[in-house]
Amino acid sequence: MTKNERLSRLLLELPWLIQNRNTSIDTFSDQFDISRDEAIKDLSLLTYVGPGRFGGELVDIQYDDENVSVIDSQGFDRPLKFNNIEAVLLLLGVKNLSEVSNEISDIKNVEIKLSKLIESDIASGGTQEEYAIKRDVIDKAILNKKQLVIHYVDSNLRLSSERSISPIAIKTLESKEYLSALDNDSKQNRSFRLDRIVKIRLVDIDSLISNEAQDNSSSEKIIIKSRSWNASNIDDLNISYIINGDEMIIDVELHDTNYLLEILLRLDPTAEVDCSKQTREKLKMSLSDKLKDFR
Amino acid sequence: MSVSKSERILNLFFVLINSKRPIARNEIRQKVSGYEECESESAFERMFERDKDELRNTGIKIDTVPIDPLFDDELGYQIDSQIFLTKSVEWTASERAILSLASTTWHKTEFENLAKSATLKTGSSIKVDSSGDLVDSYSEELNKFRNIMKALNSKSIMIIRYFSFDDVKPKARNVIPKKLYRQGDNWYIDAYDLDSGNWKTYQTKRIIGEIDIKPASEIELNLIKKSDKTNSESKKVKIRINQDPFQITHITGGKAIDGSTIEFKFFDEKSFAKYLLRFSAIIVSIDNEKIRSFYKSYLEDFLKALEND
Repeated sequence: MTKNERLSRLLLELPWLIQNRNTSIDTFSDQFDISRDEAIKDLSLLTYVGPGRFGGELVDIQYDDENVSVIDSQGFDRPLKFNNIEAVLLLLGVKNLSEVSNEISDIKNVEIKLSKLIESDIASGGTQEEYAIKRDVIDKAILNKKQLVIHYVDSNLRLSSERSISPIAIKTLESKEYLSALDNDSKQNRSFRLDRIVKIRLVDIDSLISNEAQDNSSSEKIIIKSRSWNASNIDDLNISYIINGDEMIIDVELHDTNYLLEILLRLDPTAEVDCSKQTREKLKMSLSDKLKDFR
Repeated sequence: MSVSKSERILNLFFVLINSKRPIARNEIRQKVSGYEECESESAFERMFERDKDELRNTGIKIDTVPIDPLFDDELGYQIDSQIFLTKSVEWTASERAILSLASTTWHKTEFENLAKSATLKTGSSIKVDSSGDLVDSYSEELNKFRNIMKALNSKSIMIIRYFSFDDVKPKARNVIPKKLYRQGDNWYIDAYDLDSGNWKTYQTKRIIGEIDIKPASEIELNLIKKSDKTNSESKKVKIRINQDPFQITHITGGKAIDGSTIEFKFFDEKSFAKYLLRFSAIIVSIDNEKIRSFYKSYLEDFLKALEND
């Protein structure tokens, strides 16, 4: 081991010991992949350093054969910041876990806290923090069976006016979180993507009971077939599709023609749409209106 | 008793991080235990320079600033703890377990030690007994990122197959990556495209299949040095929408610049026009003639297709 490696290790050890109070020497040496003797040498050296040369100006670590505890860290109480590669490795590690685990909610919390520690040009933390606050409010409302008032960006990117809902549960689909809730006005069950809820407020009114509620809005079965597809263009929509030979087939139940148009516009004009005549007319009208706006 | 080198460098670190003001060299020599052993000023100077380098190699930058803001003839040294220490974050036991598991993602790869040190910085414990079960079970997605990281670390060329918005087939590209980062749910690479000679941004999920890596030649590396990032091909366009941009740019991307406008960066007009189609429900106007024309032509193509069905 080079001296520089030892110096890097020593700079890791002190903050780690502060965060793991009363750890054992064996655990400490295991974590830093060093022998018990090396661990004791490191601890001994750390008690000789500090901003001055006298007691009270030196790091104070007490240890015996079993336990280690830091009494005074001389201001070095938090670890050094992650460098770019470390930050990316941890974020990717957490991302990887979220793809293979069912504990999405816990992993999301870790991701949010981690983003706070990482430089904003590597991971934008602001959005993550807002997301965490939003989810806290929802969790509280679900726990206390209280209503929420939200502003929501729908699938057509239109920002809704205030909507009063009774939250039921947060569900995860393809690493995105959705809030299933009862729409208090229409009395229908709805699903809201958490990242599309832009404002949220807990209201001190008991949630409505959603037992009787059903998603009974009219929907239509739509099949879209495209031979000229680019799956990454529809990834964020979380709609399922199959690839059959060189053809992509999307088979969905849709309530909203505008949403169907958005899916279509992400594909290719040659895509075939199997839908009712009425829906096709609506699609054509919507496209004509958009074109008029640009003439 | 002689002070060891590690002890002296740590003393220097503690003196600098505990000081609220820049400290002059002569004060450092007096304060830092270990420098009293230097027999001459020049011996101290050499030792101090080496020690600063050692600290810099661990990622700590020592600022050199004038001691008196009105006179810049005497310089002092400082480590800003706000910049170099992480924020204080409380991790629960289960969150620490997740961090620990996350670091095992890099088990037995060239990034194992870096991932370990990152995990230790969070105060989490590393699973020392991580068995061989995880070895070589990297998903295609993870292998992709691993290769990007390798290319970043070694400044190598990545040969990728990239699917742009308006491509119907992925195209081969030779790029040298400079930075990997996350924005929202997506990961991006800023990279130098050797074929076009420009800096571009690539979304990782649009890279299809495996990434091949090959060493970059001196000439290719020099190309990057000469072409700094300001030579980027990216242009800007303002899109007026009928919704509040400040509430939706986390979904659309771009930057909200007023109550009805989002500014986007783009590289290619046709490709960007195709990207904009997904926002057609809210777009009111586009302040770029070429993009507007491509956008309209795409809408016309879709309308014709629906009329012909």
